Amino acid sequence: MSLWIDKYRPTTLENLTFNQGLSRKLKNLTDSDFPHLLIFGPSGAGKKTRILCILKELFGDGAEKIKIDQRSFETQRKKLDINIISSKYHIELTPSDVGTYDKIVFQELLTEIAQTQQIDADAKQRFKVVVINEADEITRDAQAALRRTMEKYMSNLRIILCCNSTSRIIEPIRSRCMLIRVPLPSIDEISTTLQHIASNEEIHLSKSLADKISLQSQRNPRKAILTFEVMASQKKKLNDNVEIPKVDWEQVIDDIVGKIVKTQAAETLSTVRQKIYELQSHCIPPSLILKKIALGLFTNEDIHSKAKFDIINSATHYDHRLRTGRHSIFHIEAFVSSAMSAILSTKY
Amino acid sequence: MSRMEIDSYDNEITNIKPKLWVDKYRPKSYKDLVGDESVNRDVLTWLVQWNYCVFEKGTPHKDNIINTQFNDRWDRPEKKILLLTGPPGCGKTTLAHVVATHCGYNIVEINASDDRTGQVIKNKIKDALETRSAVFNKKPNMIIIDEIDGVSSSGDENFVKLLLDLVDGEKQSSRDVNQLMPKGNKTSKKKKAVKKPLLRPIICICNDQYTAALRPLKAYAKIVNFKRMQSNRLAKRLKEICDREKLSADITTLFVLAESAEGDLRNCLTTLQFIKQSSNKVTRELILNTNIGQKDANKSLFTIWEEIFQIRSSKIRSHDSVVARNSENNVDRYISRLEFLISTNGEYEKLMQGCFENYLKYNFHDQKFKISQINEWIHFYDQINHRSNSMQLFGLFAYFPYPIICFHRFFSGVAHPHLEYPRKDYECYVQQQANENIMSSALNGIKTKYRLTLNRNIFITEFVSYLLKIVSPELESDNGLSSNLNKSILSRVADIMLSFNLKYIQKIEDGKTIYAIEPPIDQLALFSNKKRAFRSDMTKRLIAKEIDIKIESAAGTRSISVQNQKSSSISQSESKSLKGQEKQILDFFGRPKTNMELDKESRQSGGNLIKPKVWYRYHEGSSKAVRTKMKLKNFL
Repeated sequence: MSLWIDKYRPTTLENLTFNQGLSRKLKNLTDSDFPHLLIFGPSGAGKKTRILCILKELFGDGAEKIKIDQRSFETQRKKLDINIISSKYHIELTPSDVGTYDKIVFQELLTEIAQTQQIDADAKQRFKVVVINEADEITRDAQAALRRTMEKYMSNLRIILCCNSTSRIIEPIRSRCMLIRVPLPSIDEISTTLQHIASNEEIHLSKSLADKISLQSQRNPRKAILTFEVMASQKKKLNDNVEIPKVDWEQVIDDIVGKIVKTQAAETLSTVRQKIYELQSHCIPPSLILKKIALGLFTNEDIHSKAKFDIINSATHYDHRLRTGRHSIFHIEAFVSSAMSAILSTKY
Repeated sequence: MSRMEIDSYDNEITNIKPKLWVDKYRPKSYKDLVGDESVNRDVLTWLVQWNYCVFEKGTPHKDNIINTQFNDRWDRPEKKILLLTGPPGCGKTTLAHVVATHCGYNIVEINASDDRTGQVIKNKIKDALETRSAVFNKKPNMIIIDEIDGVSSSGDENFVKLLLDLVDGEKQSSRDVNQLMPKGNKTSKKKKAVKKPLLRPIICICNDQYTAALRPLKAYAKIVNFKRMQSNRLAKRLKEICDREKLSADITTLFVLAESAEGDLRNCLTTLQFIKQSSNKVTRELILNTNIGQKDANKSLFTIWEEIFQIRSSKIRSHDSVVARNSENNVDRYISRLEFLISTNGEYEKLMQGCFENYLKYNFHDQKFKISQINEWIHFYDQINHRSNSMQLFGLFAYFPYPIICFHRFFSGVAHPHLEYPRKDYECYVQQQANENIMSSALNGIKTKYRLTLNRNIFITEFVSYLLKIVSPELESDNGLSSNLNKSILSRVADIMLSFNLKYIQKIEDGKTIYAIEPPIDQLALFSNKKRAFRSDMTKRLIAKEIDIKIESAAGTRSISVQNQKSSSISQSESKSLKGQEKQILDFFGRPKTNMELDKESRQSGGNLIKPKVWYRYHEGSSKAVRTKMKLKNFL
């Protein structure tokens, strides 16, 4: 037994419930020759699930027999370790784990894989697949190292890049890949899935509650299913009025937003600062903190719509600064203070 | 200083070519010293205590006041090393030299210009301690180690450590035992190695007695602390010298000079000699305009933060003109003053953090404008900090003080500021590192199958919080803890926890045993606004038990088929009757009996089965459960 997200995860392209048109196209792709893929879309939309399905479609059950290895690379200054998930037919890596040294991973590991042919004579395909996670976090240098490999070893190797946004993938790579966007499913689709799970687990879940869960999880199926499982584990009877649990750090964000809306003063700024520090120490990425606060303010009904333009404007402004600077707290706090002044200016 | 003594200087002047005033007016005898009388006497007393040991004269144990309780064979002072500490230019080295000459020693000086490795200790110091010049100078040696705070504290050849070995007495083969050894030591001579005592005084001199390298030394040393010399005393001395050098100066001018030099006599003398080159009259303006009178004194972080957040009263400000030498108007004064302070301190990062963490505490008007202004400055700071660090553009360092000065512009007040040392950023960093480690260990524990769709970011933002709640389910509390529904929940939770390699383990906190999740993902998921314990200990204990059973049965199923039934029946009875520590001791007592029972069992169930194992747990400690005596066969 496992978590419901794993238990009810589709394992074949036919079984995929969301974006069925896309699944059909992918199925057709795997029949004929197979290009490099760049799969992108928001978190939780099912990119990874699709990749796993594609692999299964390509290589059969053998692709599900996976293991984790640790490979280490020597650079002049330090030793790098990277976890590699691999089966007989494919290999999966997250180069952004080694930060700015990711170029070395490509130069050494990828060429090594690319230069050898498929060992298994019975394999359905003559090529191997390399799945690269978090491709948008890869440095420009590493992406440049990738582009020639993609062409040169086309006979041996197919690359599947997986990322949230294509904006940070360099143009040459985008042109070498087939771009596939996986959008978030609609609320109805998620509710249907939730109810499907509920009936299998013999739990009563009304349509309206399923809709509520889907809505609150911002159309993210992973979050929706996990939320549902949490609710099921905490309460036996799920009626429509039951409170839908939120992730703890998002509650802190809500708290911050509430404080900003309530009073715009220096004291608020220092209490908000405490909370931002706490979020940061819990490994929440700073840009996500800023984004969530901005969205929280944007959707807040107590703020005048004039102020909201300023807030979004300054959010982008400070997000840019966040990426060019070192101390994220400075910039998040600067954003908070500018949001406060935007709210103040519309009050009077 | 008496008239006569100054005349003696005059003689020297005529004889020798003009030299530095600092050397010319260096005190030659004990009476010349101008420093704190009590400090001088302290040092002298300490050195006199060595007299019996070194010169074998004087009466032991009698005129020695300090030595009454401390019984030393050679009647040495209790602390074998004298450590002189104090700011530069207050006469530490001079005092040591003067006192040593006064007591009739030959000075061997070791300072920072010498090579100060362990080898030096072995050769130079030991030679100096154990020998004396035979031909021409009959005085015994005394060692002065100057600038001892500069020695390195690391490495095998640790200078301070070797010095202490020397003080404690060093192992040495008997043939090397020096003639200086008193006769009482003869018996031990026969031994292969004897402790060789330290028989000569050592004086160490340093500026900062709190250097890490000196920490071990301080236990062995008598510490004499020099205070900054009083300005009026200093001015008086300067006046005498000025008179000698035919440099006209009034006492208040010299007082200003002494103030600005912060009691550094050496500095004052150099400045005066410099002025003498150009004119015969020392004026206030002349002193204020020389850059030499000012020292690169390193102010502490707190002093600078106070300077930033406090507006100086006009009285201090007028005095301050010494520092702000070129200032014309009010605005420029604080900029150049603070710029000077900040850039001499040089710890921009710390200073900035301190300002950042403290500035919101002050009441100030026009908050909106000021905060947005300062945020722009902070951004500027962050930019130059980032650029200078990542691209090695060190030219940008020159701009660091200005964002910090801006805090003074916006947030300074007349009231004394209550400053706190900036810790939050560092604490946040430490906490983040700890959480990263927890996350890594949690992620590495997850079974490969389930890990595929997770990465660090998703794990922390979308997963861990839910996971924690799922593994702490609500049980039917009505009564039947072992009801079927609960059992299925427990078994499911245990399965999930196993696949994510999570465990509930026992910890003792505040004298109570509690169950905590391991790896501690609750630290990742929960925030301070509700750091409550999730679920009762009872639930956690049941889950922990269930996990143990699963692990065992997973290990056992390969060989034993009946085991699953067994273990569940055991667990049931256990959950009813027993509580406490989860300590498994296999076959501790009653082993033959168990085997017998098992034999019977296997015979009943066909005979071809391998003997099933039986576990029981040994419980220790207090528990509120009802205790009843049970026999093992009741369980079987």
